[in-house]
Amino acid sequence: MYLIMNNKSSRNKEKNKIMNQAAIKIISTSGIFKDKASFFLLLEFIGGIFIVIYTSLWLINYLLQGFWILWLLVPLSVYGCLYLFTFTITFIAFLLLRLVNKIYPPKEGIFERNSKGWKFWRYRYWITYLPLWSVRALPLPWLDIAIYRIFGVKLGRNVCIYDGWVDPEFITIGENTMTSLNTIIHSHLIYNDKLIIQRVEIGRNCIIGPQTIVSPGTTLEEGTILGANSITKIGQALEGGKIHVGVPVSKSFPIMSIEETETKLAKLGVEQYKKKQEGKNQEEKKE
Amino acid sequence: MSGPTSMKLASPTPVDARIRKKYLIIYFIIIFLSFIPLTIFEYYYFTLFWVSGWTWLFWLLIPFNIIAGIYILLLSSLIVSKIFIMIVNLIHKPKEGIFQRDIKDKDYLFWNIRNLIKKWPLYVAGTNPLPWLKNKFTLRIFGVRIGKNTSCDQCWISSEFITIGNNVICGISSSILSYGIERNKFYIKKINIGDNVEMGSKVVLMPGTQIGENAKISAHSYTLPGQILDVNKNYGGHPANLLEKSK
Repeated sequence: MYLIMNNKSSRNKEKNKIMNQAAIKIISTSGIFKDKASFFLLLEFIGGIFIVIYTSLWLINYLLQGFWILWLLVPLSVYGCLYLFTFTITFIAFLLLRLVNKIYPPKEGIFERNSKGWKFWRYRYWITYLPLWSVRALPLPWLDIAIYRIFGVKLGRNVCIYDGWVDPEFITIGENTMTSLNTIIHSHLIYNDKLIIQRVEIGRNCIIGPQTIVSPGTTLEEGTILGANSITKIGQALEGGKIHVGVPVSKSFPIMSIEETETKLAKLGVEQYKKKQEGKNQEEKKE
Repeated sequence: MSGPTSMKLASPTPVDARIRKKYLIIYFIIIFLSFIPLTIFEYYYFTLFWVSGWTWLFWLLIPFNIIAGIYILLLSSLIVSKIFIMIVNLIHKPKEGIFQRDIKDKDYLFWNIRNLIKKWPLYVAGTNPLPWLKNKFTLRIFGVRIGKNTSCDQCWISSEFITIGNNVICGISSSILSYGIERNKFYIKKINIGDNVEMGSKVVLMPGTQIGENAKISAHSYTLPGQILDVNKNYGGHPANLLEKSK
């Protein structure tokens, strides 16, 4: 059950080929080891603090000279400094990313340990680490959409992703989709000394439930719902307009509106439902 | 990638509310003592560069001052809490076993006090924006054995009775718990994780599980308390079973 690749998704034949080569099960990990690449982060950190200090030096000077009224501006300046810090960091990270991507453009596929693809994936990870951390630590966490867009993730309007883990590359999310608490959307996976990177495509009007894991290569069509506590396999394609549930996803149900469920309950002859209806009828008669 | 707003990846240190009320002073004393080295450092930084007239150096070195400040606070809080834990362990040694979940039970009481002492340094390490000397470093000081090249900064690992081997990958937001509570009973059991183990994201290891070398656990599965996973095999499901066609 775990090993069978879903053959229904015929359009993803190329993806399935890649999968069979690696013989991957559902194990999806995100092994992040610390190495020299993480010193990119120090460069961003120091640069960000420098710019924050030198832009707010005039205020500090006036404060030290004794303009006491300017103390009222301090809370505003603190708030502004937080945003200035994150956006300078993202600017530096954006420049670094462009430089790294010119040397080795990011690709989908399978990479061996210590190969060039593996190395540069790690560089990209550490470059994008600090901006995303600092955005989410800010008092306005849903601003992270802007920073994901700067790093090249295609996000539609009204997307909400601030309560889960999302990779900053090879992900497209359509309009009006919602992800809930503690979801994980990976476009990468580590299995047996191999790194797999595949694009995740999420359509419009989707809902991704709490505690789910979306593994690399999955495609969600328009209007699908991923149920709570479920996982998708690698390269799985989910049909649109249905609720999908399972570990990994194996069952699917039609989405029922509230009226439909009520009629179904009436057919089943649920006592509570009958009582409610009787109550309503009596009220109508009285009127 | 980086943590969502609802998560702070400090390792789990739950404290009973009845015990917290009694011993809350310890927590504040630890915080107070751990800020003393930081204040001394900042005082000397200020007198060296500002009062003596080197103001341009004062502004130039501020980013390094902030980085140094974070790590001075982390190290001082670790040292203070380690001293407190050594004193507490002299009074009562931590043991494995099944205990009563009562305030009168000594093992339960001292387990809670240990958690209260560890809370502050683990919080400082968990909220640190820089990736060096995070949870792995603090857990090693509190007596968890973690091997080389393991990546375990993005998951919850309880801070005692755990050994982890070399080259282990712990997935994002997976939790490794060496304690459990069932009605009126409370139990602690040791967890062993061998070399080269791969764990998927959101795996939950219950107390007493033992994982052999090169074993793999698939994402979103949990183990039963006291379960033994064999060497070189793949596991998955609720609870974890052998997967078909494993090597």
